Amino acid sequence: MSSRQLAMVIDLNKCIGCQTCTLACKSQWTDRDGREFMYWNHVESKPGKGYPRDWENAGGGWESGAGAAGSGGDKLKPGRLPRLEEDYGIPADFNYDAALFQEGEQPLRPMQPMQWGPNWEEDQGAGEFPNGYFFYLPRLCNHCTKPACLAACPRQAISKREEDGIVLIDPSRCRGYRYCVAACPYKKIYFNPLAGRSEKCIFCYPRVEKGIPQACAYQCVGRARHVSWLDDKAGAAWRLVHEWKVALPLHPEHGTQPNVYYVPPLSTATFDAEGKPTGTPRIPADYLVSLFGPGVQAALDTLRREIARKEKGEASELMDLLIAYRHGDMFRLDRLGSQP
Amino acid sequence: MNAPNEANARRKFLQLSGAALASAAVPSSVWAFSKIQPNYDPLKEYPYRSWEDLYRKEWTWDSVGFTTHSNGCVGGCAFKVYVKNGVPMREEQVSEYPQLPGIPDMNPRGCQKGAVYCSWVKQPDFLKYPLKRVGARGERKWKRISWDEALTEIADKVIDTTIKRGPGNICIPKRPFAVISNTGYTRLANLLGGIKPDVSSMTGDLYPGIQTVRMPARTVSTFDDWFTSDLILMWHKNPIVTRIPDAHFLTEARYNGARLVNISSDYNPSSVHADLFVPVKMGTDSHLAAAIVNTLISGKHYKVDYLKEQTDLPFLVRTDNGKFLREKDFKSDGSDQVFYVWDTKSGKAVPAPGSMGSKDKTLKLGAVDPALEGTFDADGIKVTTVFERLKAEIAPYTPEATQAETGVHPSVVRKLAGWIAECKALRILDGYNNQKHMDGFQCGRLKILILTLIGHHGTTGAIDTTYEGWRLEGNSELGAVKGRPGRSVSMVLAQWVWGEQYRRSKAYYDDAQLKEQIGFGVDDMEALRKESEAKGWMPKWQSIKDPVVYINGGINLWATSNGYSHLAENFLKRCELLVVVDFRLNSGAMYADIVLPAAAMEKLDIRETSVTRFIHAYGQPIKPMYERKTDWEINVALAKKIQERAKARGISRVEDPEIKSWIDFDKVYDEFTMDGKVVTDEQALRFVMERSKALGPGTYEEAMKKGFVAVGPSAGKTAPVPADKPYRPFTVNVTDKKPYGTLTGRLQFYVDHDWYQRFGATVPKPQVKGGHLGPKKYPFKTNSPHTRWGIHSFARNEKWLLRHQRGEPDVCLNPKVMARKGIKDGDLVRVFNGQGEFFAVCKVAPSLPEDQVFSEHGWEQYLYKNMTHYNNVGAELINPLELVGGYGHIKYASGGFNPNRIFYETTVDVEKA
Repeated sequence: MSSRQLAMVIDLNKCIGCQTCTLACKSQWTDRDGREFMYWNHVESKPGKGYPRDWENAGGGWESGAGAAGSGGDKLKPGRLPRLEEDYGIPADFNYDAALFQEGEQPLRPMQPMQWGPNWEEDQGAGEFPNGYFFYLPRLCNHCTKPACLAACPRQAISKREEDGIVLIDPSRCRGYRYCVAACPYKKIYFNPLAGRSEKCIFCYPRVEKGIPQACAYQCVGRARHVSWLDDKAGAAWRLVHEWKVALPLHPEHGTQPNVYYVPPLSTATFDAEGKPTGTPRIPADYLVSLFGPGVQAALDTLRREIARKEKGEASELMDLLIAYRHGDMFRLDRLGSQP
Repeated sequence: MNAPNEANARRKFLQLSGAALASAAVPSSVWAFSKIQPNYDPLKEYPYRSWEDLYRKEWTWDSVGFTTHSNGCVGGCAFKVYVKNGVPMREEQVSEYPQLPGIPDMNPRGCQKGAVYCSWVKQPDFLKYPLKRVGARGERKWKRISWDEALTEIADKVIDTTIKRGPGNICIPKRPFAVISNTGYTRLANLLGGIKPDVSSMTGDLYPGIQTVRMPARTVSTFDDWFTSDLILMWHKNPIVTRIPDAHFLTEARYNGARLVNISSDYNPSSVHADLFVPVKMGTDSHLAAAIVNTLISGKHYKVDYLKEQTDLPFLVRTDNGKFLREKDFKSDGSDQVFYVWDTKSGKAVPAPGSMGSKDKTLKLGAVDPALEGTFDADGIKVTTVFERLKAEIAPYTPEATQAETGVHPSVVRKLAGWIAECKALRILDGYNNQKHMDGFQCGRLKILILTLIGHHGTTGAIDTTYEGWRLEGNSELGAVKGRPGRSVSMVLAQWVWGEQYRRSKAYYDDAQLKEQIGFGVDDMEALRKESEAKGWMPKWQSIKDPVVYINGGINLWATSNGYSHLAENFLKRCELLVVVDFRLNSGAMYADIVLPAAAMEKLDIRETSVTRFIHAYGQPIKPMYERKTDWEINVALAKKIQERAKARGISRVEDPEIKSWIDFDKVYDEFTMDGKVVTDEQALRFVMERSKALGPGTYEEAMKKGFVAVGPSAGKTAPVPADKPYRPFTVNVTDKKPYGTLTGRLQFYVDHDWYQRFGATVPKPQVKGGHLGPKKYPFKTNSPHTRWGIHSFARNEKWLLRHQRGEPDVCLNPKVMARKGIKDGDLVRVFNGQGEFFAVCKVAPSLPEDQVFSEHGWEQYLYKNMTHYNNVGAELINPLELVGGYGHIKYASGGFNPNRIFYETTVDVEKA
């Protein structure tokens, strides 16, 4: 265990699926040097197979053990490696010069056929009109408290930083065996074929060390991401995760104890056969439980109760916290800040 | 000409990675952890941390500059540009906007398009040098030429055309979305007597229906004002996709207790965040709006005092001829712009203050208490009120009666009307897609009527259409030239004639069907257009001039039109020199004779959208690269060359009596630069900023230092910009009783113009019955709304963005339709009707109704197989209500009132290609 853990909370009721986080990360870290196909951060439409394709059925994580729910056992589950073209999708280039400046009528096209990508199922979801539904799920490395990737690495090249809990792969020790890729149940480690080693989200530690939040969080134009020390009781992470219990980890059943948390999505009611609203949210409750665990219902009830207070003109600390009147208040990175 | 891309390096990478990643699964035997004997626990400590500098070094730069990316976007966002070795590497939002009390701040502003701009700007489609076509138009055969060659050819052609064909055959459509960049073209067009098309109607972005109610139609609150609302209707607008920097004000308003309603034919990303989704059948929104008005009126959910003072609803209308009761009805020399209300106190008709003809420039009623309802005898003339007329005409549109048309269950309409009746601050976000339907005109009037009935217009609420830009007197001064008005036209009408859209629409639409549904056909539209021009209501330049020299600044030719191929073919017949000035070779530029490279991010300028209180800087983080010039520099250089050529050829003044003006060819540069005062970008920009009351001295420096600068109170066109609250338009009309700019001086809901009477549209109520107007033999409606992946065609070919899509144009279909048609996700499909076709890959969309072919707009023509284009299937209609003029405020206004592009009535079929 690190002495302190930096945590992120992503509010799915504020995520608008614009992918500004994805491109902010891309332009910061992965638009070069064999990282082009990687998305350390991406946003996928749910329900869906996601990115890399079918990651939720690709294994990894810990066998469920005798410990408390979500704490997992001590045996790693087998996992498989996503395939470049079929599951990640190649970072296609385009024939700009031929299409624009050369005689003939070649359309602008990817120079290699695209089979998949980080946003392949955009706005697709499930259900039947008028009861179709979808929502956005941003995903990045969870910087887990019990990282399966770290345990899986035969080179001991993956470590968790003592001072902030950021999980890193040492490129000088990594030999590119990719056990970590298989072991990560979120499939958020990528093999860099040019460098011959694996890479992943570094939680923007060069920024964080200077007190500047991660690019994905700071540049989130939907203002959906809060970052603070998990033990900072004045920070959004502690308050949303522990105090209000409205922020939940993704797929806690893998036992890795993620440090990225999600405020689950509300949704408008379905219509019955006559076209009358039913009062039942269109995102099925059991689907949300499958993503965020059994706490999701209580979290949604809390959100609805607090919204109702605001509707009546009453105060709600939770709503004010989620509204985040000042962008800067969404981030508390100062190490000298409030201690437990 | 453009450097080859990095394809070779990339291919090498792919071969390598394909092989390296070929193995699919790791056998479970590898998890033999007991064999590993760690000498440290990496969960607790890690001894080799010096490598961490590796990533730290990747986050370094040499210099930081500012820019914005508001090209075609109303956003306005301050970005920092990080430059390394002279190359722009990365951008990040500035995030330093101040907060207003009690309102979430505006940080950060800027979307994914801005975030990848440094990558896009390096793509081969970005222009480096002037190009001249050496093959046939559109053949993609180019040769690099010098600026001098390019400008000389253009200058000579401008002079020759004016002399041979007369003034007014030079057409300069432009919209480079920055202040001096844009105004440079205005100034040049004015000096040359050129045609200046209204580009707003061209793109279908006008709100002529709402313009009949208030002036201007196109205005918004600053978008932080959304947070103050407790009921928000997202109607014909998908702000989660199209207003990315401000979408958080919606989700935050919801957390603050506001109800969010999305009224849309499809379940879209804005529906995801809504409390109520209203699945209205596409194009029937006017009937839904009428049912809401009906429910509010029958439940007496309207604010009587407000309506009496702020609207024309109490105004008297003659029952014999349906005209307003006017002063001239009583005296032969009376005004036809003075109107009456029935004073319940004195029991007689009294003149209403505040109208165009009234001497009382106030809405104050004084001792008068106007009747809202009733019929009266005004000195022998039988009259009733506008409100009575409205009630009678809206009465049939009950929630139950409209269900067959709209598909919306009456309980949903009543629930929504109930929310409207009880809310304290209603906001309607009214999108561009409304007025692209034939019934959008009346639907717009109905929407603003909903807001007005409950008394929220100009008080606690607003209907946000689109930004009109802040008032910058310096900019007006920079564009205007005394005595040289130029020639304004409606671009829809210009393309109707020059592009022969009339012929095309006539071939497509079934006139019998149109007459059944709206009472007139395409031939009638053409006759009414000519009648409107003959009466002087709409400008006639398209009928008597040709676009012989066409200088197109920052617009993607025909991309926002219909019938791309047809239009291009017919239009080009009339055009002898097509010049495109742009920062990239877009589809329209491919047809050009000369292409001039404009500076992209190397621009020094400002953006003036009024969705925030901030003016944003194009701060020139790097100087123009290659041979690019800024738009202002290009206009200066062209003016200089024209003057030079005119002097060399001994040409001076050409009279232009049609517009009572003249062209001084031998002084164009002197006049353009105000005798050398505004030669450079900085001089022009300082001129604008320092001479605008809302900015003033010092603001140029501030904008360049911070990336943005706040406007002062006078920037607001319909109300002052308060220092401590969001801006909201039209508040002074309520607080100060200031008349509106309409004929009646009120929010005007009755129009007694002959044509409005003739087409049954004196009051807001549905104009179209029976759904879509396109031929019924094509079973699908086309929906091509704005996309999150581009600003129109801007960024639509950016490689990172394409990698987040399917890499080529897509079309969404409901899965049941796909099953019926044997189409699978990823299949190429052909969308077609009698007008044309296009090809695209199919994407499954369970959130789409079965009657829709959905393809977000902005795709370049060169992205389509066979150079087809999604607008090849679109066919246009003209609503005669939008051709009217000579009626107080209802008259031609560029960017205000003229026929909007109506093409959402198109129907198509689809098949597997």
